[in-house]
Amino acid sequence: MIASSAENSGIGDVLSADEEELSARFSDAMSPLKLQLRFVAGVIQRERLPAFERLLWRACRGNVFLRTSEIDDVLNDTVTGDPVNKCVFIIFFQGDQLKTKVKKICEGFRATLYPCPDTPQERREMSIGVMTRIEDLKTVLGQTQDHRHRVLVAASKNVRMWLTKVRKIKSIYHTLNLFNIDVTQKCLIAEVWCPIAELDRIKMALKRGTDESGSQVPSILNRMETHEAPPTYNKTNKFTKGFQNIVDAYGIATYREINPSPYTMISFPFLFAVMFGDMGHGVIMFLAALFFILKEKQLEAARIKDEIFQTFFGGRYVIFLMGVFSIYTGFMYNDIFSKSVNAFGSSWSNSIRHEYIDDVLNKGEKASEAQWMLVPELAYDGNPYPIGVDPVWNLAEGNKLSFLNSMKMKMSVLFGIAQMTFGVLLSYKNFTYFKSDLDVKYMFIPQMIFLSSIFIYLCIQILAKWLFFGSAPGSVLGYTYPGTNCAPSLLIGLINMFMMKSRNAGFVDEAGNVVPQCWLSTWYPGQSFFETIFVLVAIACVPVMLFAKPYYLWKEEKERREGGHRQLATIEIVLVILALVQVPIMLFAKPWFLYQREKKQSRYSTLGGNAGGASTSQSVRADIAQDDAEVVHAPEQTPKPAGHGHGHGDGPLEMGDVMVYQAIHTIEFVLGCVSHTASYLRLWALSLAHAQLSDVLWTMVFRNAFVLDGYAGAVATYILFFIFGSLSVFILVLMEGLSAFLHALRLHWVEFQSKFYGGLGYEFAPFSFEKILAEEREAEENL
Amino acid sequence: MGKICPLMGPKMSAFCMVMSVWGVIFLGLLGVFFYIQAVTLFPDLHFEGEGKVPTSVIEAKYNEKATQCWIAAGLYAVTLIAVFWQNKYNTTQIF
Repeated sequence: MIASSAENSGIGDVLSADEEELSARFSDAMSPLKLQLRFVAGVIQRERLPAFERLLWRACRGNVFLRTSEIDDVLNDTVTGDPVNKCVFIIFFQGDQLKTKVKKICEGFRATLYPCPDTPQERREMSIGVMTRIEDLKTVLGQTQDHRHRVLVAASKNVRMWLTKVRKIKSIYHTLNLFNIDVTQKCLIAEVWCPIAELDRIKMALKRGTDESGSQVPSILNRMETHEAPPTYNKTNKFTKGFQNIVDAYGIATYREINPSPYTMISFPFLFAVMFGDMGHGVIMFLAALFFILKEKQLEAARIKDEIFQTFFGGRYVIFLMGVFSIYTGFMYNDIFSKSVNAFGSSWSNSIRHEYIDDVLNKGEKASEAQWMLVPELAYDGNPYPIGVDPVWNLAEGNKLSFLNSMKMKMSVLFGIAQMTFGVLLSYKNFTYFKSDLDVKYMFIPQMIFLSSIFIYLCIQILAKWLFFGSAPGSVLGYTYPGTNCAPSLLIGLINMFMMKSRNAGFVDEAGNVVPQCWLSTWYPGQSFFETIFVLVAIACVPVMLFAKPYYLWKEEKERREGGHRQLATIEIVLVILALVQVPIMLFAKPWFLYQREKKQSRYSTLGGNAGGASTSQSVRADIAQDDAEVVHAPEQTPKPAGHGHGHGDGPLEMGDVMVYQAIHTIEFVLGCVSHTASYLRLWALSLAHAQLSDVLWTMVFRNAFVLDGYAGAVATYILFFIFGSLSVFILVLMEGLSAFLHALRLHWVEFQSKFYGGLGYEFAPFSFEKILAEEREAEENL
Repeated sequence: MGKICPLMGPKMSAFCMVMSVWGVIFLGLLGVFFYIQAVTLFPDLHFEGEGKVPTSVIEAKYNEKATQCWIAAGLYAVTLIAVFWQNKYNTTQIF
């Protein structure tokens, strides 16, 4: 439109100029001869002009007069929108023949011809008309443009919502496609898993759906009976989700099996913290997690794509608890960046006389290197430090590690055995829930006895050693205790317990002399006897665990089969009679039923076709009368033992399979108890590594800042703190934290969960708009 | 806001900001502990020469180290302001 209007105005200019010139030139000749000089005007593409001119000249043999003028404005092609340069032309000629010829040539060159009145007045009027039209069109175009813009702006506000809607509808139809259309083609049937606790809500939703759709037929919810294992569904919130993920990463719980994640919520951060115990690093971790938690909304909205960040952000509540527990264990270890805090006043004081120290110091270089021991009997005031490790140990260069190692090792064993015992107790809950009497009697009980007679006994020994064997000599548990050098050695004691070695009873002989290797003696009356009993009981438990359950399964199977044999004769007779009865049934039954059906159908059709076919539709009609969503409850299913595959009636008993399974399980448990207890020593090892690393960082890096004096010292402190801080964060908090996390993970997956957790289930994946939309959004962002 | 002397990106300046805050608190507290002559910090003191060191020298050393820590803490306070300015005016905010 713009193009054509511009062309029009161009023609006007050319015409007016040419007209004057022509009228001047031909004014004399024209009027007497009545010369019929006429013209055609139009526009043509500029590149075609030379060819056009040439052809006009040749075709009309020079009898036409062509004037052209270039249009300065670049016009746009109305169809393609490309810019084109055009020329306006006017051709004067005489006679009709030439007119047709010229017009044909114009057509051939795709020139646009415009009608042009002959007289100047008319032309002026037309020009004015064209002008006004152009103005009108401009307003129309502007308005259209505005309108279009407004519509698009309005649409752009909604486009996200529309996309969401489309996605939701798409997902709904996709799910609807999974439905069965039943035989009558009148309703859709879906078989779904749903939590029983939510049945009421589902019923309400169905009823609302029925009401809103205005349907007369209510939706029917029918609880089906099935032999398929249902999916496992654990309700979580943003706090518990992190821990549930830790458990689920090992394996989704078998249906209705006990879920370890509530216990993991405490034990996981705790075991982590035992390995990570340092108040300073704990505070860093705690503050980082606190930042994630407080800025939760903003960070979620920012949708940072970084995978490492997402891992930390997703586990922010886990990290938070890990930080809090690390502060606690750091407080217990009295460790803050490898320094101790003397908060309650140490129970140790200097027992070495000052004169003696001065004397040694005055002797010179060599002697100042000497190590002195604070003898407990003199330096220790008898009241232990109220809570945690006494800060004096931080300064004990000689035996700090021996003390902490022994303490942490024993603690690791205590924590480990406590957690394993708890795991075995949880297996009891599993067995009783699945009503597996055999498992309780021949798995749980022998396991507990085995565990108690060796490992819980060891724990009691550890506690007894802590409680009774102090530095002061005296009478302990009925024996004379000469002093710390005779405190019993528990590890060798445990080995001797299995070897059933004969040992000295007590630490001193009749004469009151300390026996050689007194730390290997038995240390309470009757120890040898009890230990022999314990070992024998533990060993006796192994065959019970190994054979009892398979034996009882086999016996049960045999009884069932024998019961079958006794009735064999009766069954044979019954079978023969049945076979005989089959013959007439085979002969007549089908024809008879077919005949009956035919009769029935003919009767229905006479009734007027409102009865919709087979028996299923009858039940639907009955439901219409009730006008309510109906829930038909199937009888409650009794829980079955979780898939151990020892079929009670699921088929013949595979004795080999049962035996192999039982053997694996028993060996795993018995060997596991030993190796897992040892495995818990990683708590000590990592704790030691962490403490030592942070000590190294302080003494090797940060301490150098205090060598320099004055302002140089301040600058050194400034620089070295930056290095110390960065290394603390990256090595001690991030790397050590990661390694402690992995070890805590392993302790939970292997040492704890192997005692009771099957993890053979699969996840309940309900239809969720949120999940679908999140997936779509992710896909969109990844484009 | 035009960029004035851009030295570091948003992540670097955020990290330095955290380190500076930590530096001020940590070194301030460490100075306090030196000032009250915490025994646990005794191994960090450095003495010239061997043999017996008089108590007054030890106390002077403690005080000196306390001042040293506080100066360093002050330097971190200055750093904090500088880094904060870097973060505020020279980069797009990350949070």
